[in-house]
Amino acid sequence: MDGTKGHSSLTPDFSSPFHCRRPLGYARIGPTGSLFALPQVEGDRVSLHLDALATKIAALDPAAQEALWEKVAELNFQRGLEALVQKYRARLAAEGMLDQTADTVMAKLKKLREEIAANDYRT
Amino acid sequence: MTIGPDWVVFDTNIWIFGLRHQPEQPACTQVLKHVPQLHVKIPRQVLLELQANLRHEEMREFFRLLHRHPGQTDLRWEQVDLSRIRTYQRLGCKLGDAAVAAHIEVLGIGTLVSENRDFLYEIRGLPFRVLRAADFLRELGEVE
Repeated sequence: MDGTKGHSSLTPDFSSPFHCRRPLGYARIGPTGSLFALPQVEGDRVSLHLDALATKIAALDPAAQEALWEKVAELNFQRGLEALVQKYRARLAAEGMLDQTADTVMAKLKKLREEIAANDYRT
Repeated sequence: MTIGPDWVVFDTNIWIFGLRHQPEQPACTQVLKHVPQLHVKIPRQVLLELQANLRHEEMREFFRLLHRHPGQTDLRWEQVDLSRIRTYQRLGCKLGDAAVAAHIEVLGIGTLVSENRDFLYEIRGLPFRVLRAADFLRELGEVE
């Protein structure tokens, strides 16, 4: 696990047979599987890995493929969620509000709820 | 795992405690991780409260996250008929809680996940069940 990533606990396990030697996050796959925005040699290497990965995935039966896509979507969600959490917490910390207790937060939420509802359902 | 086709609603406190990683509420953080495996509706009142808590860019990121699962998340911006809200006020709900409860009823939701004591212990006769985050996790088969 890479402790420098901030969301390492959510990093997918690409162990064999789907292991890739470098993160694919910035790889851009063109219509024919070519890669953009990468140096040629590295791009070729990643392209090979992607082709091998795609070949293995295509060989899976439909149910396994569906399960795989669901897993990928789930991991993407968790990575996005963790990114949002980090951003939100950093902002709260900067505003001195991260250390508020659950009771304090809940009391504020209740007050906010009444204010919003009173405004939204003004008669 | 998925808990069937049933839709659930997470109260604002679940979202906020989860996003804050509130130390006293670890179950809320865990619950949010299950969103891709669930069917989650977000009623207007909760959306407005989230908007009030999150900055514009944070809210955009939140929406982007949910839109990755369009069949499983549903944002409901419509207002609820005031007469339905009044019904819940007569049960003892404050206006805001009544708006949430009325919307949940209109949407036909069976489960509200909330840490709000008013919902959990004070109001009787709700047409949906209210579960704390930890209990919801237990239903999902996850041991805290």
